[in-house]
Amino acid sequence: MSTLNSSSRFARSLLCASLLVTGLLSSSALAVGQQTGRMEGRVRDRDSKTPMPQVKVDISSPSLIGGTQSHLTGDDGTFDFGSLPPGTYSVVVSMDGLKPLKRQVLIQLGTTTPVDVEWSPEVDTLQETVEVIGKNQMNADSTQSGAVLNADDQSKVASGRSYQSVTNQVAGVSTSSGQGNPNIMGGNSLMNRYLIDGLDVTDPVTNGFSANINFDSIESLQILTGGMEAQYNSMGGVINLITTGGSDEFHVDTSVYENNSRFSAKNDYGSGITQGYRAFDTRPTSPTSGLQANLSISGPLVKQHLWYSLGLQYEKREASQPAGPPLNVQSPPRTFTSFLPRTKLTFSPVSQHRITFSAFGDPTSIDYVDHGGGNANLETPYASPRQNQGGYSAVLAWDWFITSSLSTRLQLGYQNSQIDNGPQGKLGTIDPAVEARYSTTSGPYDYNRPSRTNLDDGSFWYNPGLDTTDNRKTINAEAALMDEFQAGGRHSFQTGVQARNATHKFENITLGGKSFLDRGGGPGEAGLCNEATGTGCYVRSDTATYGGTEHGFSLGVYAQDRWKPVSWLTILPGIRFDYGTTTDSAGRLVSQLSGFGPRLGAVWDITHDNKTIFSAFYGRSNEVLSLLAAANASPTALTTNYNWDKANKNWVFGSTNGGPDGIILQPHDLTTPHADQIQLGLRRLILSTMTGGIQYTYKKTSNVWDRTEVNQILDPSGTRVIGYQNGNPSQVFLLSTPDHNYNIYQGIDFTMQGNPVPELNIYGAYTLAFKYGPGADELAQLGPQGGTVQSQDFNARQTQFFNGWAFGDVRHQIKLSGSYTIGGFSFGPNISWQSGEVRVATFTVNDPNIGNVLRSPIGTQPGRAPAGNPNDQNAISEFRTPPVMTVDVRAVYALPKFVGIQTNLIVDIFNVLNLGGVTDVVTNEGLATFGNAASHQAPFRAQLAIRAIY
Amino acid sequence: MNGAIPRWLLSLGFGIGLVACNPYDRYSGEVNAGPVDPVGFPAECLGAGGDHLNQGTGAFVPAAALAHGTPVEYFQFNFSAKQLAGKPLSLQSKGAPNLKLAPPAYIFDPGSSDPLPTSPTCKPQPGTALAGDVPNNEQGTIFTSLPAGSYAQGVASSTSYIPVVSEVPVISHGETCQEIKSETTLVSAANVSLTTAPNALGKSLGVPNGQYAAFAVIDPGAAVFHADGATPATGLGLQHWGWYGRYLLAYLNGGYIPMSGGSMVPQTLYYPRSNVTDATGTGPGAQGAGYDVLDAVRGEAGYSPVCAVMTYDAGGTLAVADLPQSAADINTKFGPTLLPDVPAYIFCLQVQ
Repeated sequence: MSTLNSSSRFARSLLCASLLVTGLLSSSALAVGQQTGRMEGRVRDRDSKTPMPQVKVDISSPSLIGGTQSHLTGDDGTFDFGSLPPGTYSVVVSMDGLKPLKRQVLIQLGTTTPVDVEWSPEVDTLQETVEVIGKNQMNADSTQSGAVLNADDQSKVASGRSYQSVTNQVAGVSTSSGQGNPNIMGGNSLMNRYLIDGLDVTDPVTNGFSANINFDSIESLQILTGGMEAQYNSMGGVINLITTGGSDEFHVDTSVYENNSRFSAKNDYGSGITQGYRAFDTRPTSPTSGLQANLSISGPLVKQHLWYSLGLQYEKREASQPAGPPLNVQSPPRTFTSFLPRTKLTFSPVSQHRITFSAFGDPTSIDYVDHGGGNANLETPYASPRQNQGGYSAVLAWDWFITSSLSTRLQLGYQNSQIDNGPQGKLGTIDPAVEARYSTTSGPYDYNRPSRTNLDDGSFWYNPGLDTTDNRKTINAEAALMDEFQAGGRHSFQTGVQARNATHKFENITLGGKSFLDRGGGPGEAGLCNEATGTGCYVRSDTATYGGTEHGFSLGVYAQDRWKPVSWLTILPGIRFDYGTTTDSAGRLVSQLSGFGPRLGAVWDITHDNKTIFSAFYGRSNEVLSLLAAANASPTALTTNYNWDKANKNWVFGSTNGGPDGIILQPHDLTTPHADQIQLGLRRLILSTMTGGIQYTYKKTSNVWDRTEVNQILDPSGTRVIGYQNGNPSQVFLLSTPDHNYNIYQGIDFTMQGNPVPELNIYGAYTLAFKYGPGADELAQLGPQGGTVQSQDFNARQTQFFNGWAFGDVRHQIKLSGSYTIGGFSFGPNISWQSGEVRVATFTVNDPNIGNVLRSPIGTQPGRAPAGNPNDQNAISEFRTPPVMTVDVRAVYALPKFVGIQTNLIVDIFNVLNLGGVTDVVTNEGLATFGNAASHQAPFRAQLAIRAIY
Repeated sequence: MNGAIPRWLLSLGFGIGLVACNPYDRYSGEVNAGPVDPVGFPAECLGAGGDHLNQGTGAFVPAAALAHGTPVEYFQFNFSAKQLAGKPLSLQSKGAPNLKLAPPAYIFDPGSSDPLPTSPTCKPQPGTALAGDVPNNEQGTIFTSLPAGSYAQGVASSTSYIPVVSEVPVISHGETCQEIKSETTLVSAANVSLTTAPNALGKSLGVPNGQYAAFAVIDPGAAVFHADGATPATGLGLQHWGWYGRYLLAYLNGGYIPMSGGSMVPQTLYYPRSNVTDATGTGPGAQGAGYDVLDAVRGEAGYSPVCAVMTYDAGGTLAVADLPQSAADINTKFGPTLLPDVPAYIFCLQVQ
């Protein structure tokens, strides 16, 4: 233990922090992320229960580079080790003249494992326990909610083999249909933070994940859903994963997963919401398959000092929807192809220093990117987009363990990702014979042919509307200082500074310079606009190519203490300050935001034995950097809309939108978007190997970004534009963070996890949650209709309809996962059931400047003839997707080791019950298919795999 | 552990207490529920070019006409086939007012010569109404029924709707304008007075006073123009705004309908069946082509929003400028040639 007294050490911490802040302010950027765990313990005499000071505690682990670490217990018999890479540790307690004692301790990401040792000098042999301490720990000094999923447990459970999919195993996490990013405890899918090896890989524009990673390279995945300490700043959740590093032993991990159509049931559910499996459908099944191959190699370059870990994952997945209306042709499958290389080097020249370099890439292409969902039956191949995406990321971190209680961490990261979304015919290939099944007149693919949308049946023809090129670059840096000291109890203090610099460069090309919305000509290609006869012609929009670069920068400073005035109470005061600024592609200042984020938590070990824990937390997070807002601010090219003059059979000018005057900014008159969270939890150790918990969460998300249309003058019905405030027929949006754009989440989670018997590992959760408020949307990003529902601030006559259950509101969720292992065989089910999610019925009105309107509040639909009166308030009914249940199972058989190679045979069965649950419904009341299924669960499918580990 | 149980319950109770709320509370009461959905409206209530599936597609343009030489405009609505087949002008059934045919409408502070008051007495809403807003210094009429047409596949659309309401007068006593948006709220409102009586189910409803108004409910998203088809440019101003069960509704006010013995008293609308030469050429005269002649202008003694349609034979082709411009002139010159048209009656609403 250090000999400095506590007050001088505290002062030194502050001084160091100040110096770090000062030094880093001059650099271009900084970044985030908890990548280690902690061990705290005490050594007491077994008989008298008195603390034993000056006892030597040695820890070692294959995960710990630099060799054994040693501490002496303090006067109160306590010891602690911070910044420990997750893994299983050997702890040896010894004192001269006495026989040592040994324990196995599991250290998990972002958590503290308590080690309570009762020792007796009378013991005359080395005591070793086989049971691993920390596997079912109570996390008795943290308010953070969520879960840590480790590679060992996940290897026994059926999952989608991506960190995004396994996140859904945790209580309070749900994913909206068609979205890859989860809603976490009231935060929407645009509010999470994604960290890989400490690097913030959150897409600066979409605020979703921006990097995929080799699944077998994930050592540990921490999903924080709330109660976050000050080093985190997220209005949603935090998905924090670290990758495997090397060790002093050479290891190879290779596997192949095959999910072939021949192992799958036919994907032939009808589009009607009540239509089940079509037993007599003889059409060829729509393909659903996947192949994944992985190779990971790790080992020492210099034992104890330099480790490496290399990996590569190849994946190809096909998903499709069965043929259905309106096109009724089996669409080509959505085909996802990716290569995920990664490397990690860990260098420890001396035990006080640890340097980690991690790099990973995810070049990916997605053919027919929309064909996994409802658009599969709306887009012809020529009208389908393909997406090429991916990039490379690297992060360099330096940990300096100045003393046994004082350490620093410096980290610098860079990410470059590209998303090109354009016509399948340009970015990929199209078999002309496939297109010919849809159209008899489209001929060879023509990149310059304008897109056409037939509003009569919702079908898309000839080209997607846009060919876009996006590049996002971020530089992240973080500096942190951690100190352990005594001052009225034990303190674990951390302070740091984090910063991020982000750029977004883009170019948007409207194919052929124009696009058509056709209506009134009937369904299909025959109903498209014929300018000679005038049938089907409705609106034409002309848009020139445009592009630019947006910039953003943020800086956060935080301080967090973990104070244990007594052994059964932990107080967690913290505070952070964040500042951020963004500019749009025209160089205009979009936002200049700042905010304090106070955090205060308390954890009470009620029974003083780490078995019954009550925790309470309040915290605020602020969003100061959002290039999504900057992207909305960037001037688009001027779009000129022409309406079809039926009488004269020609196009006449209607209105414009976009252009340099299309957005009004007020960067100095914004309230920082923020989320306030209160969390109360009670956890209890049950049967010594299980934990049960109940947790209540209240979260209010306030001043969310939105665009308010301010130029159009609407008639009283809100369905027709009758004039313009500035006299110019154009939409003008005010970009702001209005007070009324807020929503509230309240949820209760019941969780249970642990090992009732050593062979059985289970996690179960039930969540009852409510999300509501007048701010259902954020920049028209959250609606399930892909932007066809404008936000609550687009049409002033419609605002009242957005006050209700919010997008992402899911009332009930049940999750059950785990594994049972006996001999070499393990069986791991993963079951989830969730009630329906909010949808909104939309109606198309004649005025193209209005688009779709609502006739009843969000989450409801008005009555429909003949059964219901559309103008009867009493006929309004709830409108949600149906409940969905998923049952996946993994079976693993471990063959006997052969020349050091552990070979596992794996069978994954997804959707075991072959349920055809409806995952989304058609929401446009103007379509004949309203209320029908827009997409179903993927059918029963089996995946075979073999994994060999050396 | 004994101490843990109460806290556990406290947490749960606290949570459940907070979540026990209804996010649609703010949608209850007299909230503006948006415009009525015209999906079931008959075609004539959607305007020219209207589409019941796409609100705001149609537009209303009145026909130009003359009354004793004075230019007037009228919006035409038709009698239903069923009405024409019986006693077209009767608003009674079995000797009693037919409230299905002419449903009650709660009209605030009606005037003596016009159903709508020239000076509303409700308390104006605070703030200034912006362009396009529902007027905040008047109280919209509360309707109890909407036009309904049939849209069965393969069957021609039909309707029994006529643009007539039975007036239930409501006297304002300082209620805030547009605060009341439904019949349910109105009949129990404290700051208005009206005559009510229980219906067969015991529900207290307003009692019509025996006067009838020609109120034509239209698609609220439709533009309404003068006969030039272009003014007012916004398509707003000629229609009025009312409510149906908290839904916003638009209607054209054709004024009171003169009554006699339970039947509507029409004025006469004349047009030539002989050839007429206009800008488009020469052909048989047509109703609504711009040279119709009416008995009276809105506000005059002979005015009625119901027209008995008569045709006359001018004896040869006449240019529009040479056509007669008053009923007296027609009766004098072509009286013997007058014939009832088919259909014999239309609604011909002159709006102010």
